[in-house]
Amino acid sequence: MKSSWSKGMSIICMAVIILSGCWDQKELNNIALVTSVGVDTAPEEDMHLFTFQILIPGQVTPTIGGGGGDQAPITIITQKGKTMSEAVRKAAQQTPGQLYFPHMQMVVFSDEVAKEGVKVFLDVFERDHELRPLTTVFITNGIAAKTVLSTLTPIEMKPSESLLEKSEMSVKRGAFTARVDIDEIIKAVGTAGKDPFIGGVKVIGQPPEDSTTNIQQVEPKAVIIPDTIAVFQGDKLKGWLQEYSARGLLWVLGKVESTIVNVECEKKEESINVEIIRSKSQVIPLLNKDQPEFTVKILADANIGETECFINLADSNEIDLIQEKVIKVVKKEAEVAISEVQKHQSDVLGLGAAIFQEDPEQWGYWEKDWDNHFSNAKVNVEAQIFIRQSGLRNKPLEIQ
Amino acid sequence: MVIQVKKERINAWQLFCLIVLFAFGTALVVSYGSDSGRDAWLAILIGGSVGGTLIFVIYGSLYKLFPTLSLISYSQKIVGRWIGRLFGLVFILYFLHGSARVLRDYGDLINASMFTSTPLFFIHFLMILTMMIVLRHGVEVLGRMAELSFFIIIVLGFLGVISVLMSGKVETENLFPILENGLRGMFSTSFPSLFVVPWGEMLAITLLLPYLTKPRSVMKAGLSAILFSTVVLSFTIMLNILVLGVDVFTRSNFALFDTIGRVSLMEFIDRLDPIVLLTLIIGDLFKMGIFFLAAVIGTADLFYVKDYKSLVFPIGIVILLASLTVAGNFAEHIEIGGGMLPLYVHVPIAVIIPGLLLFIALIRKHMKRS
Repeated sequence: MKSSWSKGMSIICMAVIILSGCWDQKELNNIALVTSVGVDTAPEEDMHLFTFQILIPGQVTPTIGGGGGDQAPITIITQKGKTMSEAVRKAAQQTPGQLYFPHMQMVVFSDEVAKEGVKVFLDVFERDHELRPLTTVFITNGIAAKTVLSTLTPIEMKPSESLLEKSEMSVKRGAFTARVDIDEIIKAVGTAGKDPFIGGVKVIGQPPEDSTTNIQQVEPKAVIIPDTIAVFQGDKLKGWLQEYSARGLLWVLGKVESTIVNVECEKKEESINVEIIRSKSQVIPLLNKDQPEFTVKILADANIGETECFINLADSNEIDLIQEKVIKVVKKEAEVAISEVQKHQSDVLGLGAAIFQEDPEQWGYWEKDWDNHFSNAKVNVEAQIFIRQSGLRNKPLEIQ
Repeated sequence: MVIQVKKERINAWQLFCLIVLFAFGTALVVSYGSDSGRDAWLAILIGGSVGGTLIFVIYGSLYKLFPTLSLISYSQKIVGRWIGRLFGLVFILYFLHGSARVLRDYGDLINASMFTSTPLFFIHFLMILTMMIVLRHGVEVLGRMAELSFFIIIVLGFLGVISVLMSGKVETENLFPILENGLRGMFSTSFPSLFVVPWGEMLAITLLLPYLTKPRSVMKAGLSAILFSTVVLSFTIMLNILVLGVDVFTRSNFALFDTIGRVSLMEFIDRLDPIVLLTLIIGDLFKMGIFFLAAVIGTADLFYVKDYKSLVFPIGIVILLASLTVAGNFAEHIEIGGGMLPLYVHVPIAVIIPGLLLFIALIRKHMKRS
């Protein structure tokens, strides 16, 4: 008797243990995978327009030859709401599946929303266990977030995937934009003496009315590209760093992974391309009582990428000369970037935090009026560039 | 009453594992010591190595004076039958409450992070059921399970730490400035809580000591376990601050879970949350279980129940129900645990009463001799 009772009990216990995980189960065909979210301003006051980009599983991997059908691989749902959670719940009316967020890859805020402040949207990303802190964030530069999520592009059709890949490549190869995730923004907003910066998104060309036609052209009518860096004060968008000043910011932060720096030859119309292969930087606060002062040290390794003019690259003196020229360029870019962020009063460099770490007492005096102290801070830039290689040739080809 | 059942034994290594797992409990995965801000790791190090060791020295010395008796029995011997019994009752309630609170810690964290719609009752029920089955088999099984779990938790910890360090999310500047408000500022926020939590709760461990194979090894095993867990706790909290920054760390309900969520290696090793959840489950299972066992053994001892195992199910059900009513919501639960408990419960019950007992016992011993 006893053994059959305990057998029965153990079966029940096993069932309880295994099945309790199914309490909250969601079947794959009942969920709508959200790959990205866009936030725009809505005409009504206090409302925002949320755009959810949803993957259509059947259209993602079209079989070769057969084609994936005429349907786009994604669909979007737009829904007004005060908060994202409200919009998500309201959107249930528009989709047969439950919106499912763990696979979300990016969030796009329009510049208008960013000017009002992004803090209100960050809370749900911290609080909800389905959302991930490593989600990449973009700020649109002059377009609606909805356009970014709905413009199909060639090669990689899904707009979010495509933008993320472009962003990754351009951060790695060009250093004119940044890729920042929610986590970094939350940390920067929550740290005294530090402001966030976020990569921008632009559109080249004119997005067509019918988004599938965009990918049927050899040269698409519109391309969404990651470009420029948005700088913030607190959680509010203050301004944009374009091209070389964007790279200047990355020099100061030590985030340039690889890029090309052009320096002039003796003849001004010819140039030498120097390829930066790695960089790092250090911000040193000088403990100066009357005015915040800093030294920024930038270190980078480089190779000679291409040269238009004749120089003897076997001669180390020539290399030194080129190094000097690169240093000048880097210093100038960094200084321009610093003066621009000072103009916007946006401490994306974390200078305030650097003072706090070195001298908390002094920071106590400056903290209240940091925005003004920051814009008057003196920042000295020092750069050191080491050219390591000149590739497979020393002297370039000459017409004999 | 002398504990008659002497067949069950745990050795010094098992005691070490039990103490370490008990100390990890919930503390390892939450923002333990967050009142001290970015100096939390230092406060934990000092709290554990000073508070923890001092408290354990009290417990260990009491045990050495009465190596065959449980806490409940020797307190009756030291201060007389009736006051001793009153103390015993207080201790048992303390263990029951401790067990219920740990169970609630576990349920609330699992509820917030994973099983958002599973009722708390079921999460708690499965946990207490597991422990009831273990305790039905006795102290020895708990000891052996601790050995195995200790090994698992060390492997998990190792994997977790390596992946966090390799994720490139560690920012050393988050730790600076160290001691912004000076040592006094740090102590004002960490005293008494970091000196008594979880060290004072180790009172529950004293009920396991009579089962020890070699009574002489108690100090060595106990103190090394406390120092080891202090270092691990401090290091883990430091890692949290390094990855999250002090702002997110202090605002987080489940800091280690947040930290591991930041790990993404080569875009495909990510979502390592199970590492943290398993750590939480193992730590809380043992902390809850040891409190539970202490309540069971204590009750058996106080009310002259011959075999403590017959009390496992009734007391388990009391703990299960208490865990659901111990606080109205998570905020209240944390508030009680952070503010009231250390000062008004842990200090008097787990430090002052045992300290007094030791003091009186030593004086009596001295008087007897002279």
